[in-house]
Amino acid sequence: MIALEHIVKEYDKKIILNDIHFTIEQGQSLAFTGQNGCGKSTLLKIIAGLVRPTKGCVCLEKGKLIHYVPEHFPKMNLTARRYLSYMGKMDNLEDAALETCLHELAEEFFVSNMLDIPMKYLSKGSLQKIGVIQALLKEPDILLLDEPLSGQDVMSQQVFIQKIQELQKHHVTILMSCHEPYLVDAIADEVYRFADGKIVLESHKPAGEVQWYHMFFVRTEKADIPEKWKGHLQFTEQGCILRAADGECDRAIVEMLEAGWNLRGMRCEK
Amino acid sequence: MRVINEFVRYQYKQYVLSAKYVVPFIGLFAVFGVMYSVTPIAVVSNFAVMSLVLFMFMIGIGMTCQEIEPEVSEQIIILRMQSARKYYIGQVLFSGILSVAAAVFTLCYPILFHYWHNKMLFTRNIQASDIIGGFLLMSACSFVGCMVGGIFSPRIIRERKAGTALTIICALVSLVKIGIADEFPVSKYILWIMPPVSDMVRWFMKEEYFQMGKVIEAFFILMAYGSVLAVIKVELSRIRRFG
Repeated sequence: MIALEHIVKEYDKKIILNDIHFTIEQGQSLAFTGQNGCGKSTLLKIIAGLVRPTKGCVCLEKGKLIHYVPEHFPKMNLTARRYLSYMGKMDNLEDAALETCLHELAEEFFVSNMLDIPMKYLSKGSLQKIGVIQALLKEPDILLLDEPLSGQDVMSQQVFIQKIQELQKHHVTILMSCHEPYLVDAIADEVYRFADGKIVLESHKPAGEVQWYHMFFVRTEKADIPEKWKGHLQFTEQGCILRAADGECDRAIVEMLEAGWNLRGMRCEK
Repeated sequence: MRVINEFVRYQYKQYVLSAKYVVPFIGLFAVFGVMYSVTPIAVVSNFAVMSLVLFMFMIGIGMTCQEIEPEVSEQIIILRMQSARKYYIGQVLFSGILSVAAAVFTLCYPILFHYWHNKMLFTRNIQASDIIGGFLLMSACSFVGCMVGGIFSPRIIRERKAGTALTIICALVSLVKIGIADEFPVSKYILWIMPPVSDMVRWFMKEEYFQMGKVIEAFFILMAYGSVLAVIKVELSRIRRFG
């Protein structure tokens, strides 16, 4: 559990954060939204212990591993492979496990062919992906995301959301500052909005709430109806609509394809 | 320990690729050129003077060492190591390794030069005590220089120009503090706080051979001073954090 007790932060006598007081449970996912410069990143850094609050304190259990995805990942002379390799070793990962993990993440984020280029030559989006990969090398207890998607392509954004959802299943606490509504929607249990140094709870997704998806299938000649999904189907003129929970979508698609159906679309129920 | 070890390796790689050491090295080679153009020279006094040169050179290296890590990357690593203290101790260890490497280089150059030029550089043959004494004195001065170069880093003094000015003042006063104290005896009550490099080096300026007792005493005084600076640097950096 993380407890923020009456946090105040001033810069040049200007109050950025004013008496912020709340607790965060292990496994919660919180998003902080608000205008640029309103104190979202500062609050994340205060929680991490990187910035000292003017007043108040953060109570955080000792020994918690915090990983951080910054808004702007810096350009460096090191190649991405070497940098990530050092980060993995500092995470106490064994060489073989690190190599495998690095290879998989690089493939998933489409940066395999950039790993041996010095990071100072990478584009903003590619650098940001390296910033994300370094945070995913080892599962942390708390993950801080400061505008994590800035500059990333759509496919990588999807991979990122999928990775964060996997961490959520492992009860990793996610604290995120971001502007993208779909990212907030996909990840956050609670959304806080910053206004005049205060934070206001804007929306709350009850624990255990499941996202439902509708998948649109068309029938082929040999199409059969899998027993498991019979109760989830709604038949239309061209085929059927299958309603499945977030965690079951991949399996449902595979089984429907194997049963002779073709996928033609998918949308979130919300 | 593995974490700090990997961090020191990481710092080494970052530093080598940054090429920020090039300008201080050009300065050091220029001094070599001037220093060893006139022969023969006395062994002990030369090693003592080179210790002062190394002190100044390592101040430059210490300053550039503070600039290799972007702030964001520093934050990422501190969180990863789960301790800001470990991070800054890792930096001090890296400075210590650089200091020893610089001392070995500065010691080997004139010795090789001496044997390469038919033993013409020094007034007498090099003995084991010269190598040990020179190495200890140079390493210690080098370490103090590196710590002085790092103590006024942007992490501790946010205004970069002020930090650089303070470092230069500290370096110059360290070299001439004996002269200032002779001229204004009352100043010694303030000047004791400055690095004791010139005080220690003066012990050896007129010696023909290194006396190991004196060398070890100077080594411990200098290392103690450097260690105090290291502790101050580690704790101030840790306490001040990033804002």
